[in-house]
Amino acid sequence: MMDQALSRRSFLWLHTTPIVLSLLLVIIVLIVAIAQNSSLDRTIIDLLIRVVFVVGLYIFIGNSGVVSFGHTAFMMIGAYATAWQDCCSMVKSFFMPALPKLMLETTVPPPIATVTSGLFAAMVGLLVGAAIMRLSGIGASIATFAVLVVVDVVYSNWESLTSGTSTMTGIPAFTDHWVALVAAVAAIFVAYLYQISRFGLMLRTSREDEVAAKASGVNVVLQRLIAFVLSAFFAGLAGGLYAHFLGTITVAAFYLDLTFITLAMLVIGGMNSLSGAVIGVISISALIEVLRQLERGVDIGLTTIAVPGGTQEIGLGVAMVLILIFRQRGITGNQEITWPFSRLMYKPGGADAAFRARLAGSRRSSPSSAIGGRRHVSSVTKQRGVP
Amino acid sequence: MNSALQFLIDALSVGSLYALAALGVGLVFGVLRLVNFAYGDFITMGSYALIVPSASITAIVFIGNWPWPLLIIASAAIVVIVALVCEYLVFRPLRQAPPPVLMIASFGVGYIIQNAIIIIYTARPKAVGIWPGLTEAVAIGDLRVPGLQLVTIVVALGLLVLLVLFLKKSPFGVQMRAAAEDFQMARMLGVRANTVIGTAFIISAFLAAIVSLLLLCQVGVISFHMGTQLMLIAFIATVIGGMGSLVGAVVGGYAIGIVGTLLQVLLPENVRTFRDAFVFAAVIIILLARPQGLVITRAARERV
Amino acid sequence: MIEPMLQVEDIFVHYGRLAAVRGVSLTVGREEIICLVGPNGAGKSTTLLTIAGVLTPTQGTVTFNGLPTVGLSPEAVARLGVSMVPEGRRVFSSLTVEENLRLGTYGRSDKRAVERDLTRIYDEFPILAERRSTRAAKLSGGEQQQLAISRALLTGAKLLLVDEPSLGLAPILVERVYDILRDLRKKRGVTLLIVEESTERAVDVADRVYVLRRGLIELQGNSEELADGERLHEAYFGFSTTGTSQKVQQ
Repeated sequence: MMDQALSRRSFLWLHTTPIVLSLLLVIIVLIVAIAQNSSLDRTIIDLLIRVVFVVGLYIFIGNSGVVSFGHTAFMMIGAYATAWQDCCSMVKSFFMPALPKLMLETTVPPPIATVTSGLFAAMVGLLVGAAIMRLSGIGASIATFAVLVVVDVVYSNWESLTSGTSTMTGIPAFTDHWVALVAAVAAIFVAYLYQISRFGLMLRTSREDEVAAKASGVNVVLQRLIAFVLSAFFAGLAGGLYAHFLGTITVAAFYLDLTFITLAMLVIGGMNSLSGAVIGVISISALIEVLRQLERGVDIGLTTIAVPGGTQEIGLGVAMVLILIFRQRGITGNQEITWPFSRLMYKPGGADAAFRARLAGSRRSSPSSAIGGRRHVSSVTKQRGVP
Repeated sequence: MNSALQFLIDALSVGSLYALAALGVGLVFGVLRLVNFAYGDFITMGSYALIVPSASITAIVFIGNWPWPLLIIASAAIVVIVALVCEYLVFRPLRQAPPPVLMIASFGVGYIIQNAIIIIYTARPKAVGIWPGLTEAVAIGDLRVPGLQLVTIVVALGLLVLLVLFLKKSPFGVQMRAAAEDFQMARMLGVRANTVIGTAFIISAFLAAIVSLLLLCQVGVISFHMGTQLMLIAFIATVIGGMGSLVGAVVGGYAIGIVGTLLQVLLPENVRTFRDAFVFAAVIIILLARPQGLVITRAARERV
Repeated sequence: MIEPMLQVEDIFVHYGRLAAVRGVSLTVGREEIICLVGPNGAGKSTTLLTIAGVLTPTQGTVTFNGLPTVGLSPEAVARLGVSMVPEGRRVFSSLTVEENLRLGTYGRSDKRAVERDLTRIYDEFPILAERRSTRAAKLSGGEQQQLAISRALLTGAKLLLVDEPSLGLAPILVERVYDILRDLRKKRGVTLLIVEESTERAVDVADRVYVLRRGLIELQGNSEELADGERLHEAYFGFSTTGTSQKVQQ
């Protein structure tokens, strides 16, 4: 009796991260909703969409240890898939004549279109991933870069499907801050559930030591593929949300700049933790806003101080490189944020340990309790080749 | 017979460019396990070195007007200096870092360089013509072949020979080959890490500059993203050739050149713009069959 | 008192939070042969790698010919005269025998001495001379061992760190290797610090032996004193193998 109650409460107690992160976002949205500032509103929606995307990115990169440079391609696929479904109902056949007749005649309701876009991107992710996940980590990363370039080339040139390099307009507005918030929270919960599940765990072992993981029976290729498809879904979903937010999309928006910014967000936040993904988006979005204001010019007394255009990008680049050199684990130190904050560092002894000891005594400890704030023991073997 | 020869020259000249770029990538990867995502921007810099910063569409050519030996030296010098600065500031502190971190760091460096170029030169592509004589056709038998193609092939072969001699005969070359195989052991025998890595970057940057100039002759336009696609092909060439193998990188480069030219000839007119996509599809098929690459070195399994 | 060639004082070496070496001190005198024995995981290779400069101790000092070497890069330590013959030999398989041999010579300024040394190596190891243009991958285990030792010598090393020279070799080849090592001291005056798993071989070849277990020196002494093996085994295994003592340590 007591065990059951303890079990239920303890599960929640151990897994507070997604709740904390979601609350953080909710608070931000509430503040903005009260403030009634439309430009701030748009910034926050942009931020929330980025959270969806970067969390998706994290699902793959954070768990597998394989860098992907290609996820913006999935975002583009999702965005255009949305456009195919619900854009410009009157003039669809003018913009995208190559679409099948059924699609030209139907306009899918935006919520459904968004989710379907995610699914479509996931499907492409499945096809692409099946091909490239068999490559080594480095080879796979290069392959994802190739995916980015290929999708860019295809979408830029297939004018009858995508209007080529020109902007596609007329996508209905659907994404407001509540929709984006729901999507972001959903992404966070799915990412967390994935990482504490068997699948996430198995994949993480391959991140630490691929050979040992394989020897333990982990099908590394399959696990990477699962994470890749899941992350492609959220990238596509983000694309759909983005299309419904801006109302217009272009191919050029989903290329190297966006790839870099989102990767920087993840890295600076902490590549290997979900909290890192979210914190990274929030902090870098804030930084970008500050730099943007500085570029426009800040009035101090009688003078206007402005930094030259382009400082944003260079500043972001420098920030990311500095983090990699001096604090590779990012802002969050690759730890998950939990409640209470004192459990941020897993310390032997202390309140957390006492609680876990009680748990261990009262029920069998589940494998999922192994994740959530614990630091991995660093690999003992030194890499042979690198000085 | 003629069209076969034309095809061969086309494929070889394109392949030569790819092979040189692949070598530039492969050399640094060999000693440092770094896939240099800034390489595209190294290439881009080689051409931007020729012009003076301005916002106009027509570039003000400065170094670009110098006699060709000086031009090459100056362009290469600028790329080499930037590459060494990057090595010292970013890659040296990260030498022990795992490959994903190195990749992202180099991606960051590339991003910084690219945006610096945009700030200095604006994002507008600029028309620059250097060595216009090379675009004239040279007669070979019945064929009329652009001189540039022949020059590209000759230059590539020449550089390949020089590189082979360097790696086989010179002390630096032997140290580099040893370091590529087992850096720690090489250091335990007194091989200086900084020297080897510096040499690799210098050669890599030099190749980037050469590739850049050849590319510029071909397209006549300087733009801030001109190196990106070439860098990607260089990466792919090293992957299909077998990472860690310089021979593989060269083979991979020429293989992609041949496949690309083949597709250019075979593909129907309306899908020609997607040629690159088809090339990559072909590459993926190759990799599915042989994930470790075409040329297998005995150390290949440990490497990647 | 003659200063020892190598002095290791109280070093601690960590891999992350794991302490592989926990306060090891040893000395190696000029032209001595010293053996470091111990079970797997004792920290022997770690100690050697630290002396070579590949690993950095979190505490303690290493002094070679009066010079502190902690913090120097491996190549700087090598150029001081400390050379390593590593576990598994690690010859450069894509390089030829001669390229392997010459690799360590590029730091030496006296080129004529280098050529003299090379000729001498070829005289003493005719197999290497015969195969000088062959790729090192094609050599047998014993030949690779000769190559690894010669390569280390050609750096002009005065102290050779040899990690498990007998690993992977047939017994008769092991004998040969140890003959070579003994000759090194006799004919060339090279000092040797050898890591060895077998206590018998250690006692046979070395002047003094250190027993390392779980990162600590359990025992040290002259090999004559330790020749009967009982104290050695006790230190090595953590319990007496003759059965007279009851202590069983974890």
